[in-house]
Amino acid sequence: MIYDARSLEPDQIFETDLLIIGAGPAGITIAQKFAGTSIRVTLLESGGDGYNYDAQDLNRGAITGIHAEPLDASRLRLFGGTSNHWAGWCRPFEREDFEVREDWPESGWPISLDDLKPFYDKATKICQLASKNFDDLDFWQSQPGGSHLNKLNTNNTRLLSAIFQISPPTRFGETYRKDLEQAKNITVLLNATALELLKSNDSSINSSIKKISGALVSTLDNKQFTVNARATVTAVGGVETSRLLLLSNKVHPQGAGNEYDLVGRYFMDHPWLPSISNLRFQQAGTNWPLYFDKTKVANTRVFGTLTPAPELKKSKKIGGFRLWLQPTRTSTAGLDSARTIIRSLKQGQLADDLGDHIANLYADADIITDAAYKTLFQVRDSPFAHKSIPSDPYLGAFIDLNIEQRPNSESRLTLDSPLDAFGQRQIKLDWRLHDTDWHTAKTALNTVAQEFGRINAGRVHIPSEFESNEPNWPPLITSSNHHMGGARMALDPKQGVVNSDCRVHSIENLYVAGSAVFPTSGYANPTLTIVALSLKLADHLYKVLS
Amino acid sequence: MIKQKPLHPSNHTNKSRRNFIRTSLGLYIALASRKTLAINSISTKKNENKLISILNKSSSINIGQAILILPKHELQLSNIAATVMYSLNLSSRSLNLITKKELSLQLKQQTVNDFDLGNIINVEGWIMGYTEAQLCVLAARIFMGPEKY
Repeated sequence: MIYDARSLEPDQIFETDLLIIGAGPAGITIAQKFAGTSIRVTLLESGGDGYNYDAQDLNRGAITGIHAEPLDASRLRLFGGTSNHWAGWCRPFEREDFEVREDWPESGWPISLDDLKPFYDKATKICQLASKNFDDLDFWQSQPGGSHLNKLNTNNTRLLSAIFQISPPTRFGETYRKDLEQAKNITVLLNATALELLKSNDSSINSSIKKISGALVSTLDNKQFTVNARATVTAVGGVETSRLLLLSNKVHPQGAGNEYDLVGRYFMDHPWLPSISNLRFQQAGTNWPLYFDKTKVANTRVFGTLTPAPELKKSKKIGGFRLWLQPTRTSTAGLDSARTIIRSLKQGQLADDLGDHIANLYADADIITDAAYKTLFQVRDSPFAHKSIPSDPYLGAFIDLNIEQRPNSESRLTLDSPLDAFGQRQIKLDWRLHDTDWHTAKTALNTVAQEFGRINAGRVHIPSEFESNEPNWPPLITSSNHHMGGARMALDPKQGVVNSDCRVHSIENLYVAGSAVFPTSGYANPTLTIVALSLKLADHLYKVLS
Repeated sequence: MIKQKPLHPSNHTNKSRRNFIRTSLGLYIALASRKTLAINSISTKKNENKLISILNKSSSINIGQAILILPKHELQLSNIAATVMYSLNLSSRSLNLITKKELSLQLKQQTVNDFDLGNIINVEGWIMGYTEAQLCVLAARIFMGPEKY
């Protein structure tokens, strides 16, 4: 059953078994697992069925530190949550992402890939993917339209090809609405914002383990009500989880679960360097369909990326990364000629073959204008983008880079002074990177340049910023809207907010679903892991509540 | 007072002969050396020309110029032809005998090795193998003239 909370009588108290706050991929996945059971589930969604500016405004927040996408643009408050603008990239985390690394402080999850594997398999279905074996090239090649997919012959102690499957993408609200609507034991309340978690009267003041009774909920027209539940799950994303816990200061003065000042800390994203490098092919017309086309095979688009071999990560003491290619049919001769002319002028000379260089400048005027515009205004797109002709051969490719961020306690979410429409403090993100992250990015670019030279594919251009040994992030660095951390998982309550069951250490009936619990971020997009972890949590909750 | 022994006429003659032989030999060696140097110089020039014959002239000059003004790098820039020939395992004779196509293939293989071993140089952001970079410097020096570099 789905209701609009604005139509409810105010000041009511609802009783339920399981309260799930947030109807994004995590919340919907958990709720759906309970469909048809005897357990009563209430699923709250702060937004409505469609985009609403007032609800969306609740996502506002300040950002300091490294440039990140605005918090009210990177997240969505409507049924289905942020999956409503999800691009669909899916891949499980690597085995080593879960393991402790001696050279990588605060690494390791309290669960292993094997613990999560059965849930990953189920998550591929929920995300509407074709196969649970992502890197099984034989499978993809055996499918109609897949025979031309081949991996690059990189040195597999340096760079590996990692295949992503691109979900349709699954819009969780739209795709699973019917299941939730038809389930008699599930109540979905739209336009219902959880303001804070409420401490249970059962909680002993002296006990180190508390209980919560549920949540205080409000609509934007200020109809407030309470939902009491035997267990509560916050499934509100990598930013809002910290905010809701910090706002719940009746549970603990510093915020629910914040006995050790860990809530909001270790915030991570995947730093993204769009089109940071340029590969120029040795042979015009080079074509690598696996890496270029997002080819649709078995009803799923597959896409090859380049990631570090475990040996490289270990020897260089770096994190994970992911490089992907965007082929281009345009030449960069004009840019090279511009560089040559400038270099010669600096030497007080005129460039040799000046006529040829001027011809290149003229021919590639749009590319030069495009590059100048992007540099000047520090943007990724410009109105002067070159329109290539589809029949032209590929001349090269732009290289995008995503890196794994090393866990950093100073990269954190805190409550800010400005208030939202409910009079509650907005969130503030201070996104900080570690020197190691710079080393990861630099190694990624040098390695891909070396490997493309070694396989004689072409030559790679690396921006001058990367000659520095100290962090010198180019202005185009940004976030990937992959908000992770803030309520990290650890066995020790002094090192993490939740335990391996995603239960808040200090609260016996409060759970966190979603990427807020990730202790490390790997290089893969988080959604598939969010869904897998949610399925694991649903299994656990079913045992607890039955 | 010691009276100096008069020189024997034959001694006198011997000395002149010795001087003559010495001078002649010196002159011969000098001439021969110059000839050898000239032959070597011709041979080096020939090798250099053959090596750069497989490059695109204007691109290699541009790259070579860019390398020559790099503030610091580890690229060996003296005796380039000999260094490259050593890398490619070529003698003057074998270089002379192989075709341009074969030379290109050998350079390609060496470039693969350079990248594999990490023998790479950053030239205005472009990552190149040592051997191809050395050849570009050679091309810049030859086409632009030694007085410039």
